[in-house]
Amino acid sequence: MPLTDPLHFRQLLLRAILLPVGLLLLLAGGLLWTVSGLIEAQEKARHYQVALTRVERVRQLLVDRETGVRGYLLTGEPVFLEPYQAAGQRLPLAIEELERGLAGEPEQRVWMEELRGRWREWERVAEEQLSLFRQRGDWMSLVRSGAGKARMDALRSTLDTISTEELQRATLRGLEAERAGRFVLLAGGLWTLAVGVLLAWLSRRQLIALARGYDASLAQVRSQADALRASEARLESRVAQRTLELTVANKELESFSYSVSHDLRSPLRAIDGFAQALREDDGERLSPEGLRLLTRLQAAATRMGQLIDDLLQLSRVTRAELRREPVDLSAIAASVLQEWRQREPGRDVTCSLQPGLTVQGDPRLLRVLLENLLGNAWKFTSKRSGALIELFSETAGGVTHYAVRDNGVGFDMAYAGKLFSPFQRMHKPSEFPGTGIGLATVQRIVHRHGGEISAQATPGGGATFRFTLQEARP
Amino acid sequence: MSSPQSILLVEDNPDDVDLTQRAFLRAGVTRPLEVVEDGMDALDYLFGRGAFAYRAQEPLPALVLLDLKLPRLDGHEVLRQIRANPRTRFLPVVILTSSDEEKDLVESYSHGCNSYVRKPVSYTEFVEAARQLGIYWLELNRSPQPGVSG
Repeated sequence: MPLTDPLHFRQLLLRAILLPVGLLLLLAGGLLWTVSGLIEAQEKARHYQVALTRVERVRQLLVDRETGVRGYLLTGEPVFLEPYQAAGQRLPLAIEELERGLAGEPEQRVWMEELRGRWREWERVAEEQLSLFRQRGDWMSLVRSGAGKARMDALRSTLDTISTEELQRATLRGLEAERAGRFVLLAGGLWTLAVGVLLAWLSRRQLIALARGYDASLAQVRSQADALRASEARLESRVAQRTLELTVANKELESFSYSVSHDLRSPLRAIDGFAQALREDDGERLSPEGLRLLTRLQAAATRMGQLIDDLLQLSRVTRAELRREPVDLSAIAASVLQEWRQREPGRDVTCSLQPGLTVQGDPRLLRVLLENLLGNAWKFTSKRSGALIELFSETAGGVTHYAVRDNGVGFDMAYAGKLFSPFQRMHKPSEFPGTGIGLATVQRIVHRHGGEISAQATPGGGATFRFTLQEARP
Repeated sequence: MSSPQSILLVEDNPDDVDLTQRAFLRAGVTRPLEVVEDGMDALDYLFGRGAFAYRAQEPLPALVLLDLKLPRLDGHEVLRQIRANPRTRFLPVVILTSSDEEKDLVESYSHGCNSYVRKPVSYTEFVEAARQLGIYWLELNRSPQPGVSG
């Protein structure tokens, strides 16, 4: 995906900006150059204008001088000589200025030489006339000879030539400037158009490239999102599948438990029942050994029935939906122990129950828990006098522990690891009956409430079971 | 009433039938025990239909002992139909089953059983249960006459 690469993107942008900016700078430079040419042309035109003015000034001064001479000759009044003298003072400067203004034009210099020459000739003729007039000579014949007029005409003709040439030059320059201006306008316009078109084309190209990159990125993001959604859907369907399988498995387990509960107990009842019937109907005819075997048969059936019941309870503890409500452990314990007292009224057992132990939990499961723990305590204290069963709570590390303690036979802690596994027993069946499922059930109930259970015991020194009931597991 | 009302035992397991008969005998319950083996037969017997059409005019049994797990029609459905019929709605029905499942208990009571007894494995306990059932439902308990609307 090269277009989404930031470096490439930066290069793209740089190209899109740098090229048009360069072209525009070139355009600006070109325009500046041509405009400066235009200004120069204009400057030259103005220069020719000045030269023409100077030509006219020279012409005027010459006319002043000629009319001054003529007036004086006609009237003899010295006042007529004043323009002649004034013009005579200014004329050299004016001619010099005119010549300076024409500097750099070789043809004009030739014309200027001629102008000076003719001017000097006229001056000479004028001086001669004036001196003849003052000496009362025949100035009239000199005038009549037309020498002065001819020289002034030649002067005028030279001036006309100069001014005509200057005018021609000015016109030429003006035309050139106009042409240059028109060219600048046209070239600038074309150039701008070209740059504009190029810019538009470049921008379009870059935009297309960017859009392609954007599309590609978008497509990538989309495909990633699609993949994510697909994997999510796959995961969900897998979860749904597993849930379904689990539900089916649970249903099977439930129906299995139901069958166990219902169907496996029936043959046991039949075994015990028919054994009993045999004993009742034909007891007298049976040998003592036969009667003993019947007893064993019935005991085995009863034990099997107990096993089935305990296993059912274990599985029910796992399957049952957990409720959470305030449960008075003390009250349940009192009621459980009361049942035991009724069952075995001959036993002398001291029960010490801490009152008001209220916990959050499932009342049915907590009753099963206490039935098992207190039942064990009741059972394992049966062989001693002064039996004591206690229920109390302790707080350790901010956590409340509940404890069931007895002063019964206890057990060897070496086997404590097996204590909570099903079918594990610490004692011989001949000493203490039991299926070995009770503590496994107890542990499951504690775990389902989010708690832990442990046991401490010494052989002959009693046992203590401590458990916590923290947050109920959902 | 010429003959004493019978007890209807709805039970498909012949061992259980035999043992129940013995238990009642041992417990001194002298009523005749009628046995049907599935739910359909139980309903036919009670409503005098099909093979039991001859019973249409016979009095209802004094007590029905109903197992839950039965062929064809299970105990829950049989109980529901007994309670749905005006003729049998007040008939004492005792669920006698091996099941200790909470949902069976709840369902049986919600369908209106009068009592729920779990058959003990121990025969001695079973005889004692039969004896107590006999005393209570056949001697102490009084039920309205069939067909009486309540």
